Amino acid sequence: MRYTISFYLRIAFQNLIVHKARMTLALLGILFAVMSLVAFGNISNGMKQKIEAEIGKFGKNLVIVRAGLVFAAGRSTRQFSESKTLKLKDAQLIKESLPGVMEVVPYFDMSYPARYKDSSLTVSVSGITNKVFDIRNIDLVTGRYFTEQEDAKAEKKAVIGYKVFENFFPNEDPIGKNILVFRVPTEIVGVMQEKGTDFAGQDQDLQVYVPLNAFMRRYSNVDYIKGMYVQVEDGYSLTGMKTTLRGFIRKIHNVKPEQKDDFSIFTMEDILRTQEEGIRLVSVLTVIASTVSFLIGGLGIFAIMLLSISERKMEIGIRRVVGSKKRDIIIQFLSESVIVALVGGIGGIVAGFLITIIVDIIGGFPIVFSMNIPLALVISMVIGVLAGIYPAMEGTKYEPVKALHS
Amino acid sequence: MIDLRNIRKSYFVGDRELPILKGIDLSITKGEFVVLMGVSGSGKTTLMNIIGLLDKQTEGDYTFAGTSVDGLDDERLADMRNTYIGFVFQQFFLLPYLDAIENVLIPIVYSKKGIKHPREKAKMLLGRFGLEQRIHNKPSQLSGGEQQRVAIARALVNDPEIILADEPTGALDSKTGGEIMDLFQMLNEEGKTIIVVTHDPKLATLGKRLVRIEDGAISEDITT
Repeated sequence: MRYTISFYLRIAFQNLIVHKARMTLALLGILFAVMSLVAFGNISNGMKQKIEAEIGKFGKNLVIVRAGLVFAAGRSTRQFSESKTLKLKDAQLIKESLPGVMEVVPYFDMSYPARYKDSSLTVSVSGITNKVFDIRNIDLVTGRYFTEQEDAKAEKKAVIGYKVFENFFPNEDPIGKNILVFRVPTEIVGVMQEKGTDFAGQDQDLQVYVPLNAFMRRYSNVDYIKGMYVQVEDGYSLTGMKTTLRGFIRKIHNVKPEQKDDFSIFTMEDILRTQEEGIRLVSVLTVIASTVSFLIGGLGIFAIMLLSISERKMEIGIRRVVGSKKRDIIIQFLSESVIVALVGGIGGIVAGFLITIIVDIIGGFPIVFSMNIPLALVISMVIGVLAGIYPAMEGTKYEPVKALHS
Repeated sequence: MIDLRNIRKSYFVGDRELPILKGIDLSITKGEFVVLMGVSGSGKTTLMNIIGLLDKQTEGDYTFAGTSVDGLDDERLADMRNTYIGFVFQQFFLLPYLDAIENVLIPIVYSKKGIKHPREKAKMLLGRFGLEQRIHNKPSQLSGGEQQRVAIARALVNDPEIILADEPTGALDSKTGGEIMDLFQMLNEEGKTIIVVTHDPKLATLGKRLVRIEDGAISEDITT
């Protein structure tokens, strides 16, 4: 039995080698189908990981409430209308009244020029409570966060972004130094790790965090806030929380039913959804394309097997003469079509991985190999069997004597 | 070994009956060397196909190795061919993409005899026929005589009792053909039953027994 199988395999490979050109054509369809499946599976997983990482970088389970109407789409947000109705006490009410809310971090942000010695830089200053460091996963390279007490006393302390640090203090320890933010001298207590650009296109490394109370009283004399981050407990859906928050804020703002919201609510996921929808659309197209490719590949193998069998009547005849049964003929030709399909499938996997590496490098995605290789091989095998079964049955129709004398 | 009783074979063209064999009675026992001679169209090839279990008679009884083969199905016949008969053909019928030794080994693939060390055996047979330097050559790299010797090795590899040869020298020059016939004689001396089908009168005296077929019937059966 072992000899039989190795013999069939040997013959199958011999045939593959003898008829390189036509076999290559026959397996190309399968190769392309598997290649596109594998490449797309890997690349889309890389993209998803990148999106996940971006969400992680922004902070998990966050709902963002912003004053006025804000339109969030793609990779940016756009302010449609301003509103001064969002207050600090709204944030307190939300934290106290709504179940599932773990933390609320109100903020007020604004672009200001900052200056140290002779250099100046436009930075984004956020007045914020010190909980922000926790919920937005902000790590420091040096120094400390400002504290709740410093916030309560409206002290002028700052945690600065990495680029601010690089610009102002190329050869200096920044901790304890004062920079001028707008016109307010502010003491640096910490420097954030490099974070890059966030979803809104905001360069996180040009950020300066100061205590919210200090900001509202000393930097920019306001009694309202620009927005707040609402951190949701695990187990509560972000979408559900958005609905709850909307109803609640409309109620405390006394918005009449016919009036529009004077605030906007969105999540990181909302912003990235368009990207994920794009991936999903491409994945549907990929499945369609590779299905068509598999069909064409199957037809190719089918045609080549029919041709091969009609060319090999003598072989079938002599095999039948020396004792092969119809079953043996079927097994032999089926194993040939399966091997052709498998070679195509393996080629497709290799090609798919090459494409994955190239695209991931060019696109800056993490390289993830996640396509189920056994699945690709099983599909190839099934195509091989389906494409080979009819030709193999045809092969058994040659009676030994007639096959030899035709 | 082989016992044919009143074998008739007809082909039907439309509703017209075309008789090919018209009542053949023939017994061949173990160890014989029979030359079945007849001109083209005499029915000798049809008779050989029936003897070789490749075709079925229309009428009559055929007992092969003690078994009546009349009611046997395809599978059973394939097994019996594999077990008892080694076939040699005029056109050799070697598979072009396999080398000599792989060609010799084909019957082993379907064998139930459990032949030990088939590769060594195939090598030994090829060596015996002077092909030890040729075992990894493809048929296209071999001369006609060499190809026929590979085919004979293939016929022998599964230890059959009978060698059935259809015009084995037909595609060879007379010198090479003579060498092939010598080979059959040697195998016969070792105890194999040999049946050679031919139209070539020069081969008539090479066997121990000559059976002449004419127009679908045996016209002469002489033991020399």
